[in-house]
Amino acid sequence: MIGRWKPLLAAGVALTLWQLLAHWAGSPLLIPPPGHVARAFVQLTSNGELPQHVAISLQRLVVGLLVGVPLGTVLGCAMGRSRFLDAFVDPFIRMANSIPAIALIPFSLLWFGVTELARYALLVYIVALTLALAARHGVRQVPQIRLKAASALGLGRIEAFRRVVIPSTFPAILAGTRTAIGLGVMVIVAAEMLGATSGLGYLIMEGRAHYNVERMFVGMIGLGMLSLALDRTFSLAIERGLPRWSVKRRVR
Amino acid sequence: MGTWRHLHVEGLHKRFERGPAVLRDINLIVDRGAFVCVLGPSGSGKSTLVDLIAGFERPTAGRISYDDRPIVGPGPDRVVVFQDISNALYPWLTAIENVEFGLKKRIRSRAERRRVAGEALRLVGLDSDAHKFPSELSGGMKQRAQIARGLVMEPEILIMDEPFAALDAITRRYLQYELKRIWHKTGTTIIFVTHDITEALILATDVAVLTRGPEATIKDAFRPALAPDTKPGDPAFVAASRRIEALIDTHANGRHGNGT
Repeated sequence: MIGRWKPLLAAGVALTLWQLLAHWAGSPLLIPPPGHVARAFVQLTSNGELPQHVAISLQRLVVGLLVGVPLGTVLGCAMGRSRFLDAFVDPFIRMANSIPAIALIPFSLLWFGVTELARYALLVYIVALTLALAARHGVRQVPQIRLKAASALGLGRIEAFRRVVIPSTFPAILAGTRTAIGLGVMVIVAAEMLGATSGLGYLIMEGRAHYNVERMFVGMIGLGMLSLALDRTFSLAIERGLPRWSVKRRVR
Repeated sequence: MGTWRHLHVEGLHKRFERGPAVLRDINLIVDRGAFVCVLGPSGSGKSTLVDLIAGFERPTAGRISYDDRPIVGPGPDRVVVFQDISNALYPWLTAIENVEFGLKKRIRSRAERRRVAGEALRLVGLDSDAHKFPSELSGGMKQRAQIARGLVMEPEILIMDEPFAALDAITRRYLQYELKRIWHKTGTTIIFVTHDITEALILATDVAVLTRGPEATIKDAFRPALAPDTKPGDPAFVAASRRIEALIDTHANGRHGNGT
């Protein structure tokens, strides 16, 4: 009985704390009370501003994923398969992976200017990098016995790659995609804070510029809802779209 | 291919880059249609021998041949049934799709592939579970599926690497008799590797005893020649079992075998 009300209870506690914090802060310019933010939320939703920013951020993310996932997967599979290629590329990938994507925003602005291309470049980069590492790991982790079985059953190297390695790598690629979605939201918002004129990152930044704190809060909440919705949609798609075997368990 | 009479394993040595030789001077003759058990304690290089005969590994010296035609590399004439019950079948394919896996190049027609695979599943007693995924099969069922996957290839030799070692004792005994039935029915030559003396005596027409490694070798190969209905516990069975134990102990240079 209590279990069903837990989320509501948690929300109640959070809202109360928020209200108290707003009270103690003493100024709605620092922490606006929930009521103000709710009003701004309704207003920005009904005049279409919020949905528009969400749609633009979402569109950027989807395009980034559509380009970055296949790119990274192909690169990662090639690295997993060829020791030769791996020896050259792996150190760079590892180094790149240890640099926070946000640190690259200035570079992408330098090379591509304040353009949509700059944001896509950054997003594709981070998605592809994540997928390359995931796919490489996935290919390396294919149980040897599956490959032995394939060669005993008369499959050549190329056929074994297509019919054994790729399906074996599938769970790792899904897990990588999921990580990439999370990182992608982070990166795209950061990129929108610098020089964009649309998107949730822009909404937050623009709110700050005009001391419109409610707008900042609405942008933040929109962001939280967007990434939660994306994550849920992705896991639901996995559960519905995949056959009975164990992908689901391994991705979660 | 179909005309060979003996598989010869001659002077087989295997040494990996580091360490001592794993196998030394292995000689074995497998008659066509025989059920040969290679019996050895753990660490005697049984799996290495399987890898060599299957062609996954190259010998350091020596050769393997059908009569006088040497064989190099893996091929569907020597299909392997693995011990590893969790990875040997492809988890994204159902039992029947796993059995069809190697047939793709051999049989063009999809319907025909399905028919042949279905027949193999019936032979191993898994036809009612044909559309289950490996994760939905028990260990014993998975090994039946593996056997079917091997048999559809109509191999010259079915190599089995401790296929029942990961199963519980009851399932294991049951599958041993099932395998014997399947072997009688198909006449496929089987090389069966095991550390279990009873298992070897239930199954084999020929037993080859591998000494304890490193540098394991085959000291003795013999025909137990037990009557077909001999059960473990019958005097003849016990006598044969003692004989093997004695062999293993001699080869262990005074050390005693563990659990075999």
